Amino acid sequence: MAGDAPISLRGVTRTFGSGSAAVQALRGINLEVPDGELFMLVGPSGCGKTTLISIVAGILRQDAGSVRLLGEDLARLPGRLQADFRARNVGFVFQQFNLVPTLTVQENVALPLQIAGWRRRRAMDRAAATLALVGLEARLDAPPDSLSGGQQQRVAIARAIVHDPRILVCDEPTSALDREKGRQVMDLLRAIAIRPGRALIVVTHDTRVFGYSDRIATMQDGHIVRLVRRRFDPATAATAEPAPATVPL
Amino acid sequence: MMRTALTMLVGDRSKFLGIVFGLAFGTLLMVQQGAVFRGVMVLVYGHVTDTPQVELWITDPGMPELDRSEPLNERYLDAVRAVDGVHWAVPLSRRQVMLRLSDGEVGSAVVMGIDDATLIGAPSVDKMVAGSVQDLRRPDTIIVDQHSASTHLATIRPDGSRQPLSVGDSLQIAGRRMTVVGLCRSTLNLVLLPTIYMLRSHLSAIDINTDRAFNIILAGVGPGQDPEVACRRIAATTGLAARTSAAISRHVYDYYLYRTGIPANFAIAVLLGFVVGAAIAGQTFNQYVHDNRRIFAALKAMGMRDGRLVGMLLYQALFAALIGYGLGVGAATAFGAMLAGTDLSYRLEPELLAIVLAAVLMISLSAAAICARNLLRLDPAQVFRS
Repeated sequence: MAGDAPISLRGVTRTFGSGSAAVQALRGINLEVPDGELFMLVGPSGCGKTTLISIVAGILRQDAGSVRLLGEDLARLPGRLQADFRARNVGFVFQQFNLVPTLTVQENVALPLQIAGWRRRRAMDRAAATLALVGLEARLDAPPDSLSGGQQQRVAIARAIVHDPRILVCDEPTSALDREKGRQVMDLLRAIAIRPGRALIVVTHDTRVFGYSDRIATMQDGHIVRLVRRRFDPATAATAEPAPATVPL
Repeated sequence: MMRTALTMLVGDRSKFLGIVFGLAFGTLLMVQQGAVFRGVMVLVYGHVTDTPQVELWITDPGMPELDRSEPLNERYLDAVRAVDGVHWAVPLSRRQVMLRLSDGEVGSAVVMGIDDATLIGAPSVDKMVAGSVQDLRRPDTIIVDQHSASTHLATIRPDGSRQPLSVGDSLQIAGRRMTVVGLCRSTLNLVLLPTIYMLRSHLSAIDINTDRAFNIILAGVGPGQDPEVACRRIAATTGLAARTSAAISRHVYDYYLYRTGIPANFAIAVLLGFVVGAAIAGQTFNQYVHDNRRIFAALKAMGMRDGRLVGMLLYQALFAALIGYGLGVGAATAFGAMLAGTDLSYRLEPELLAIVLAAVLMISLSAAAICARNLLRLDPAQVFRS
């Protein structure tokens, strides 16, 4: 739907298990992530961040409430069309990179395109161009294991954006990296991933990168308990802590 | 995507080699044992295929196999000759007799006592590698199969090497010295005994059990006559079992197949090959999928449909199956080549290769299908769990 926020959640709940063992991971989440925003999700372990980004990424279904991604209610789509939706519209950056160790860097980056049905040669060309964007044009044929952690995360970012998705989901993209490499990765994400029509949601524990966000939501016990809006400043992003202002939820 | 699937599998070298090894080993066992079995089973009717000029084989109705047929007599021979459509009929005495080998050991041989008048039942001219069938008419003469002449019947020299039996040499059969007048090619028999041809009259002279009796009647039909019809007429007239060459081959084959323990022994070995191949390949393939479940979960999260994921697995399994099968068949062929010139019979036939291919595909694709079940249940959301 034109004009809709790319990500829109209303009253979303999700419970795992049943009876006395039931764990309510999300308790009525309301959230909108507009175009061109880098939205960060923080909170202690077990607060529901993983469940929330799984739902935002379209790989987990909510129990109740509404989830609209790019105006589409995924719960109404059959499984294979949900997969097609993700293939077209969602990019992933995982904490552990999840690069296929037996494929080259270029083949890894070409994967989302091949999943979306592109022919191999065309997908490989596009992958090479995307790798040039992240500064890895010289390592196309390298196996991922031969790269440093920072380089592997750049490959993962290239893989996440190669098919030009409108929703980018990043799970702890800097947690495995030192401060400098973490900064480089966030610079890269801001530089190439943020653009009109695209929303970026980042789950992180890493306070060093909070300065790169446009908004930060703090989760606790399945609720968003704090929402901080900031103004991104490239000069201070790498050092700035989130502003203390809290907006009403 | 399929090329990517292959790269994923082949790149995981230890798992790929494990799967291929399991399938190749299973293939080798199944093909090798199957080929030996087929080789052995062909031997049981080798006498029939070695005697192509004979159209009808007439024996006692209770005959299970060619070495165990009740004696017949001249009255039956005359009755067969009188059957409408029968062009000719001659007796054949097929016996096991004792012989003394050059080193003094006592052994056995299968002796074919062929008809004195017609020499029907003797090796055909194209099977003779030395000497002449006509020389059998000379007193105390025999023709020996070439393989036995250079193995079982060869003379051991002082240095341990073998001096093959050749034309002009003699052999002591049932206490009587017989002169070799020819060597021929013939199919080995099941128990690898030498095959010796002589006239029935000579056999009767050296084997008191033979007397004038014989145990097989060989016959041919006239021009334009149907051998099957002639068989039915002979059976109706004489009460004997009359079979075409193809039918008697099948009859003897079936006897060994259904009423001896030979097939069971080979079946156990083949089954073992199947089970070992399935266990190694299946377990390794399962391990491969298990170790890569995070990658597969990531692919699902990135939008790969379940059907495509299963297709990738089946493609990987098919590829590994064909490589393993190729290596296994190659090894089995090399094994067969090593057996060339030995007593062991080994027949690699297209039917056997097709059956083993089906078995290997079954192992491989079943393993993939079982793993695919797990992948279908794989939760893509686990990519976000540490």
